[in-house]
Amino acid sequence: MMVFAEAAIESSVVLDKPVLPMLMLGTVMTLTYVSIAFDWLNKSLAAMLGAIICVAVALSLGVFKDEKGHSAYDRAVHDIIGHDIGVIGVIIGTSVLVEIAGRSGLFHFIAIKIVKWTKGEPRLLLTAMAAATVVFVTFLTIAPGTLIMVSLALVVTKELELNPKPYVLVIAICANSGALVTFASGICTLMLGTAGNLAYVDFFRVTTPLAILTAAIALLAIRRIYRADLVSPTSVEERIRKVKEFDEWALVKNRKLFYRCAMILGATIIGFGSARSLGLGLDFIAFAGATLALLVSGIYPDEAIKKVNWSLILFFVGLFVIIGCVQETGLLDWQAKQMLALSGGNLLVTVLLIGVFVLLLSGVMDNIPVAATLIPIVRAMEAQGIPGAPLWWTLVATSNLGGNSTPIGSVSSVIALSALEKERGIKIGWGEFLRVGGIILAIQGVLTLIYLSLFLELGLFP
Amino acid sequence: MQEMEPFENAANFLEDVGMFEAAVHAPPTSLPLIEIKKVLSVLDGSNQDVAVRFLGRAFSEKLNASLEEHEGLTTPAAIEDASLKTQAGLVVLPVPFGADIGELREESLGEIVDRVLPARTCPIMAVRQPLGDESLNAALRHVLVTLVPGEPGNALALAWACQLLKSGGELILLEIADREVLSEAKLLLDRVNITEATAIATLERVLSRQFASLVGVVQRTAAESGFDARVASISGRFVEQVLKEIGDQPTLVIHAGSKDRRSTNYHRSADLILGSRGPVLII
Repeated sequence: MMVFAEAAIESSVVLDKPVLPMLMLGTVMTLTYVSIAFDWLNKSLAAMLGAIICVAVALSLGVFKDEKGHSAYDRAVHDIIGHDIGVIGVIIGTSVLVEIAGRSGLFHFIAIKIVKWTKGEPRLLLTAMAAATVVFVTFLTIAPGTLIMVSLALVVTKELELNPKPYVLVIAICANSGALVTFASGICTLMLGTAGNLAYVDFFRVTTPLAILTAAIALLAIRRIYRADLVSPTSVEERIRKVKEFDEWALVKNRKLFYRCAMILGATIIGFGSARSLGLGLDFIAFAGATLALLVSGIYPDEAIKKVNWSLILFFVGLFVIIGCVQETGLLDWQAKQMLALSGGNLLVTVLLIGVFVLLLSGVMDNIPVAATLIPIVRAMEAQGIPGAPLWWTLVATSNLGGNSTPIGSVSSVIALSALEKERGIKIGWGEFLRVGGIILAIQGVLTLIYLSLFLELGLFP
Repeated sequence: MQEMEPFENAANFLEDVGMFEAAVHAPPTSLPLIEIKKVLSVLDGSNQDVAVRFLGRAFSEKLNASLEEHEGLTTPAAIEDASLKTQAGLVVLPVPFGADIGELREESLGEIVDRVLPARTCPIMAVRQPLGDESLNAALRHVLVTLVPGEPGNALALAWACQLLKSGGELILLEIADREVLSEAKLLLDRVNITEATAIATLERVLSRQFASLVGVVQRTAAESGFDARVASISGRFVEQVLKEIGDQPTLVIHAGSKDRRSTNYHRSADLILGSRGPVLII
């Protein structure tokens, strides 16, 4: 069992920086998070507003000092954004690439092929949709992957006269498992992977098996809870006839683009995997893939570029500035020491504490600010000489899965439930979601923590 | 519950649903076989004759049909007679025709074509400008088929295009929204937050469903035959949008037109021939 430096624990109650900036900036950060959690303000607007207030307060209280050739303002804004520009670059690059690949019809084509393979048998269809969601999110990230799969579920269940709820729920929940598969499969994963300097290939060793395990749990639980709905109302012959008539070619708008996108997407993924050995950043690979896709797709560049989630980018910029300002006050360092004190110097306990904390918090608020706030805390722990890898992997796993418990906990749930209501007029309320998601998260959470503990105890973390 | 962000996801969602609806609402269909015995090229002694001859020859080769060239047919009745007598499966003729040249050339098809078009017994290929061999060859490898909802000739128009492109090239299926499609799109739009993006996506969703079976069979044929096929959806003025899609690229336009002078689709055919610089095949 690894034990931390005792000095870190002993100094946990000592505040070595002024308290007023900590209190004021900490309050602004908390208010920003609360306004996002309760949807008082649009999340991007809340983050931008919080950032402006933080910078103004930090500068007026002298939190940032002028350095040689570097003004306090530069340090408060430009340095912070510059530090996280890699994450923003990857998000922009992959958004453009995924927009083109997603629109090419390649994934839609594969999705219909999968449905035809199941012959519309309700339980097999549910399993196939869970598996396809994990795969699509792996390649396309959460929002586009979920959108494609939810659209498929809504159209196919209508045609086969099935209850769409189990299908939509399995997609919403398995999407968060899909986000664990690779470095670039989810926004949280990407942020934490960048912050923790985790290698792309290590994800296959650490989180890919966990993604499969947690998706299987979600599938089994939903199969059990909705077993009465997983029965076809039509005869086997009728169902098979209907599914046989589905024509995957009818949705293909441009076959040439379809093949080209598959190749570029494949090349980009290989690029992500080998970026570190080539001495390149993931943002470079993402931009190269996006540029190539724009060049060969024949799609008007402005069309694809305007589909980038600029709201998310602004949200990130605001969030990074808020956290950067709060970090400079020393508040997050102090919190890191508090956490170490609470764990009594035991790394396993710290992993479990962080894991449980993030699993619970990610259910009630956006997991991105949760992860973003914990990044400097984990960095502060690392600075105290604590091995960072177990903490980073714990954050990756729990921040993605934590959103499964509530309908607002993850972007996939928000998209899936909103689409179900808009398209079919069916609402899944908090009660129903908590009953399904709560059970699933409880099982997934326990198994995830056991999984992470085993990795730690057996020294398997890379 | 948080709303789906309209600027980010709503348009993509509508597009995704539209694509899947197209796949599940595509009852099996097949394209008719194009089997014609004769191509009739009608020459008028103008500088368009070279292009008429070229296209007549090219079509007879591509469709395994014999070619007959006629000079001195100066009236609509004579052209119709020749077409019937020779049992032509395609008539290639310049527009405006012979005697009509010089009179309101830019505004009117001319009396002869205006009478041949509604009385036709087989498809008519209108040659508009004296294009060179290179441009005509390029046009035969770049074909645009206009798809108007509810037009029974759409499948036939696509069958002609697939037959012509068997040796390669690109086919554009231009789905054009008419009033019926727009009203269906309007109904769907009531269910989403209307933005420019969602309006376009909704329109594409309706059009995708309308032409699902045809797109499916064409894409499958294209994959087997080795030509490229892409689908574009538009709304707006018919001729203007077709010409915009073509741009400067030499293109053969195929349109399933009506013979009924009172129908909108008859006027679409006439306006298309009038507005086009390249060859137009009216089925």
